[in-house]
Amino acid sequence: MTSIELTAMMKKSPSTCHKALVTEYGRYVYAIVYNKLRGCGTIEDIEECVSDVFADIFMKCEFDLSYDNDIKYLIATIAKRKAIDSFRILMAKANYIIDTDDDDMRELVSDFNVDERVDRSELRRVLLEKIDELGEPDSTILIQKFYYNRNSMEIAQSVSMTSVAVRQRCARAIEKLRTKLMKIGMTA
Amino acid sequence: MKNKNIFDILENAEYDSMERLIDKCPLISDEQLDKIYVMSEKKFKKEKKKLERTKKDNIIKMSENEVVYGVECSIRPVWLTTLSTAASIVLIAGIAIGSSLMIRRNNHYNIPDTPLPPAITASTIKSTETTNISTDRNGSSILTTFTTASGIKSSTDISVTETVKEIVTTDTPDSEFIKPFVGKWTYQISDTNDLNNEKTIVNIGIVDIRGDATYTYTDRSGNVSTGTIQKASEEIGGAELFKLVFSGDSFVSSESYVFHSAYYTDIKPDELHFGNGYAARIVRGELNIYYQNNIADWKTSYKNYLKAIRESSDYTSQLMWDLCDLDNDGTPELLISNGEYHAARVNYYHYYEPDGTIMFGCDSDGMIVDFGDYGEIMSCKEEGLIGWSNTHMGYNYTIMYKFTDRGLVKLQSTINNLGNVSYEEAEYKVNDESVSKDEYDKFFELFNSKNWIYTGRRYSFDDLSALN
Repeated sequence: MTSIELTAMMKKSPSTCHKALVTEYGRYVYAIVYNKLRGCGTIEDIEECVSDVFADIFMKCEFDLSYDNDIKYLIATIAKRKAIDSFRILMAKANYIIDTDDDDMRELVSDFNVDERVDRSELRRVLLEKIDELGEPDSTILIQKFYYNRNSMEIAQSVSMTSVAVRQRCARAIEKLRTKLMKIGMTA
Repeated sequence: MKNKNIFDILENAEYDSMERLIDKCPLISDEQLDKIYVMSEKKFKKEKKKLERTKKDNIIKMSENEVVYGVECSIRPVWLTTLSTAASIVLIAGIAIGSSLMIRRNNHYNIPDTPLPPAITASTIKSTETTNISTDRNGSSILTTFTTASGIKSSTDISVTETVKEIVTTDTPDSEFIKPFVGKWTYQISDTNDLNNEKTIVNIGIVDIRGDATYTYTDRSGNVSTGTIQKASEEIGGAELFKLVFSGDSFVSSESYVFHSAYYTDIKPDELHFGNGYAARIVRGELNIYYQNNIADWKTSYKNYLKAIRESSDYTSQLMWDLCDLDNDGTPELLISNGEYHAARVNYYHYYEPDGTIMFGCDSDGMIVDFGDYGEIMSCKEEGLIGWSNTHMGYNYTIMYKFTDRGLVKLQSTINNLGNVSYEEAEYKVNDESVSKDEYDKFFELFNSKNWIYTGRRYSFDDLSALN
């Protein structure tokens, strides 16, 4: 969807436009937010953040839509920034106060490690490649099972299979993935 | 292989990896999307309103030398000037007339109804003869001289000066000073320290002052006490006050204070005030007749008294009252309970039929006493008994009084400390003397055998309907 299409929709009916945006980009925004908050937030936190993203997008549409290209990238940027904000808020909530004389103080160093970042980025790329090599629907089943934490029933609806078949394919696919990763010396 | 662990590295993915993960993201149900839409719309409207409000607040932005266009011209009606002028004149005239009326009213000097007795009583007391120096409202001293040889106040010389230090003394026999005060007086007290409020006044007894400077005091219970009277003056703040000093402990206030000195002022020759305020006095003449003629029934007397307490500064929301015929004489006693805490006591009041006033409940020694705990007492009216019983800080106690012709007499009290020590070490007391367990049980069972009812806190001071 482009900004021109969006502007036209806004003129016609703002609420219809908002609804269309949520329907069109809901899954997209959800995936981005989920990627950031998966480790620290609940499903409710993620939904809250997604609604924050769309509220921001609606504000942009109402007052500041000077963006000419596909709004997908604008939405991705807003979603990512909002998700990082939420991540910080959630981490701050879970944080605790440490005395400067405390032994734990030495652990309060910056968590940004360049080497580790590069390593993780490379690992991520390799893992996704190996998952893709498994082909469909195995790759989707593995990602939805182990990354999105969906159960076999939900995955079965997504890939149009029975839940029993999903479980069998998942077991086989994970074995295949393990073999592939071992071949390249990747173990976990 | 820990499957989930290795998938955790997919978090915080870069754009390329993210694209792949988005592709494989499970479908989001319509319900979930609707929920997200509703939440988003709500937040959007809130933000929009906030933004519009901010814009509205900052809507007028001007810098120097900017010209404003389109300003609406306002025409002031001609009649408005006339109207406001007239209103101002009326207002000024009103203030002037009001002020003059107030000044005129205040020009009449009113002699105070009752000069305040001295606030400080702990000063040197020396016996003098016939001179009284009092202080008026303005702080000036008033010198009053009695020619007591004739027995009446024959001449009064009042001189108002800044300071009067000379005290005129006349040689007269010792008992001459009493002659102006000879006669029957009524002893009155006010539980709320407000003798100006007739509703709070309680007649306690009759004082007969004789010419030989002796007196006889008869209280409501018929107890008679006698004593002598001396004249004294008290120097307070450079002024000297005349007073009569009564021997003995006849005059007791509602707070169980004993009064000895009654102060005299010229302005109210028929009143002698005890103490520092309006708590107690003796009166004679018209004042006495007035109170005797205003006899009310017990309900009206109790109601007036409760109303007076309700309006006084002594009232607290914890106070409650009750009616109970404690002495089984057909007229209920008025009970006033101080609260619900452990030390909260109950005062009781009798209705005194001859003059329709009420009197404090006293023990056989004529002392005003309070009873009970937690704001209640136990009554056994068949036998004319009151008592109370409780366990506090490990001590279990009972106390029992009986109404007799001599007043309220203590029958017995029991106490044990079973809550603090073992059964073998427990100490039992009856009437404050240690006794055996068997002896104690005998008295304790006697107390428990009575047909007690709890009383003291049935009505609030806002509910006097029981006295209608």
